[in-house]
Amino acid sequence: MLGRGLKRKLSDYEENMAGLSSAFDSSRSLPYPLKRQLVLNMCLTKLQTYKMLVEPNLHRSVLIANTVRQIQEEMRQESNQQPVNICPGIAPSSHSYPGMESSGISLQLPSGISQQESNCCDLRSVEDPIENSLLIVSDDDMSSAISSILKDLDFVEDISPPTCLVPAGDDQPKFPENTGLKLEDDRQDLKGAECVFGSFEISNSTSYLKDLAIDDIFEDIDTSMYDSDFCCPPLMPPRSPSLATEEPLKTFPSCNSSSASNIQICRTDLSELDHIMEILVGS
Amino acid sequence: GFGSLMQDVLWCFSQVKGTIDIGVTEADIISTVEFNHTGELLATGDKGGRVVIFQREQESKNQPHRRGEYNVYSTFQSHEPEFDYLKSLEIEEKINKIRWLPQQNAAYFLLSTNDKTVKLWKVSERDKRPEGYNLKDEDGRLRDPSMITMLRVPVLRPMDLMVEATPRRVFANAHTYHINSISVNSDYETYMSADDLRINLWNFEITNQSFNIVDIKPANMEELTEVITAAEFHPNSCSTFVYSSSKGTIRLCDMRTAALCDRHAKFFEEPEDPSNRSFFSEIISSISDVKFSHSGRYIMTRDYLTVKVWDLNMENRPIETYQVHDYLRSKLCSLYENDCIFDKFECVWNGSDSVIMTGSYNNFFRMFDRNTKRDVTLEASRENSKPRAILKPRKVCVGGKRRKDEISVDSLDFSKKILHTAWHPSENIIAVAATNNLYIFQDKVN
Repeated sequence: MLGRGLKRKLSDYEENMAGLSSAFDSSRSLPYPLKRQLVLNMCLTKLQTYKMLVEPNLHRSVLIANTVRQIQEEMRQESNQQPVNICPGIAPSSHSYPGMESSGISLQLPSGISQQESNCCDLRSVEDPIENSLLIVSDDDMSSAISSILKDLDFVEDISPPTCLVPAGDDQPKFPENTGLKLEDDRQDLKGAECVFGSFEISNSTSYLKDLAIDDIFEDIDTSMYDSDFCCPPLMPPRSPSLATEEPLKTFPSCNSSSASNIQICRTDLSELDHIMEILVGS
Repeated sequence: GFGSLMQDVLWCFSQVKGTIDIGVTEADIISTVEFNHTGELLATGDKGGRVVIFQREQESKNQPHRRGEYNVYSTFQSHEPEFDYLKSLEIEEKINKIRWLPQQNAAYFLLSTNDKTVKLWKVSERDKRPEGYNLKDEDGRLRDPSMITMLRVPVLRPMDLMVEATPRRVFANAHTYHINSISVNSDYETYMSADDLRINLWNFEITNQSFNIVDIKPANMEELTEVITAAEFHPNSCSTFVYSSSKGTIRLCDMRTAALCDRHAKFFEEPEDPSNRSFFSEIISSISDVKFSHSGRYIMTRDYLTVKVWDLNMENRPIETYQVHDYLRSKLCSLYENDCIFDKFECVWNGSDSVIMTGSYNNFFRMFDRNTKRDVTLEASRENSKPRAILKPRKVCVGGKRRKDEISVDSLDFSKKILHTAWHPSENIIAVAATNNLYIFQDKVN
């Protein structure tokens, strides 16, 4: 454990990990695959923890996901080069990497984790608590962990895109088309359904709204109050205008008191507003 | 005088702001520090959304040793915690950045931003008030018009100085992701705000519209491998700006080439050193801060272990690399485990671009003289806080025998991190934020 003054309440797991990472740093005799496994487990644990947050940190998630990808790639290349497993006692699946049985530590990794007992002589011969803490992680698990966290970071976009004076001939603004619903080919074998639709995303394109069955989307939103006299745009769920909140629509002033001294006259796009109203009212 | 050679500069303690309480209130943690363009004002923002501005007092001939101390000038609540109902997310009130506008009249203007909203604040003084209204009396009560028999002209009478901060513009609803940088353009009419995936250009007069000038969000978020970490306008060229990424690269863009600056004009990246490769190589290469030199000829970047200086004319590697705390290289796994590896340190130039400064752990901060190649480690602590006490250089012992006054790597306090520092634009005065305390150091007066 580094230094003093780290004000955290350590759970058993964290204590273990702290010990493991100290061992990683200080020990030169730790075999490379074990180090890699340790780092991989730490990454996946962090991603899992972030998934439980309401708003995971995008920067950190991307860095950790990249580290997992890097390890994943390395492991793929190794398994391509060495079809014979270094631990002859096991018959693993082609993308499964031997770790050690976990003892007393249960990690909720994305679906597909199996805790096999390993007969790997090479690793077991080192009597170390490190091995007891590592779990088997499959290639699919890594991929699903990455895509899971990144999908969750795909926030509901503003209805109107950032006003962009891109002339017609220029690069296409990057409007996601089938966001959140299409998977890449090599991840079709995702096992956990909960990984896939982490968040619901409304595309920037208003044509997307035309295509959907609007009733399905707004079924559970209570719109009984939106006829009331609010200064907020009608697409928002009902709320008191006196609270300082953010609205996704750029063209409307934010309803917070500190801007009261400075309300700009909003140049709403009336045709867009009419269009939205039509959809809501279901005409 | 203002010397550029570090061996001539002895840094002394000048002031410290903030409480000495053992328990730190989260809201008091300083999150940004910035001098204005003359150095007369020093602004801090904190996690509680407050801005405190200090003003340098006039130097007095009677007390020459008190060389212009900084005293509180104005305190105001810039941002409040908010709740985004559509996404069920709390929006932190923490002030991420403050940037001053150059002074154009008697009032001062600054931009302050949290994760989502940028605000333009006007700070002005009032030392007179009108007296002798016709329609109301001195208490403000309305007078009966029928009782008024003569007219008088109200006169301005002196009053106690009052400093008011008023929000003049609120620039909201333009960022889906968290704002990490704001930068005022040299045209003084526009500024940019950058979040993890996009950069927007604003006109100060227009709050309901911004131009998206950089967008790196992929169509499929699963393909996302890189985020924007910092951005800044060139100090002189109003169409040029740079932004840094989590992969350790810097892109220089010219807004004249296209409305959407997705193609960079220059791309700065150093090839990886294979001997230093580790699982954490990419994480520690993520740039946490990028700053143009005052001259505009160089950019400085900070990643986890180093500070680098780049020449704008050379894209394939930096011209200078300084090790901030290389002894941490063998501790990366532990630092990853406790998340310290994600700490975002800032870096600053001195006024003449000859010395650069950045923070470290254990309340240490480091300065590097670009000419002499000498460096020094200093500490911001209450123990060294006697008036005008000269700061003693600190040293971290890496291994082997620890000398007296050295501190070993394992004894470093990683909760005491100096992420934010500022350097006066023309003098050797620095402001160092240590959690909830602000230290001001000056060079020794002869």
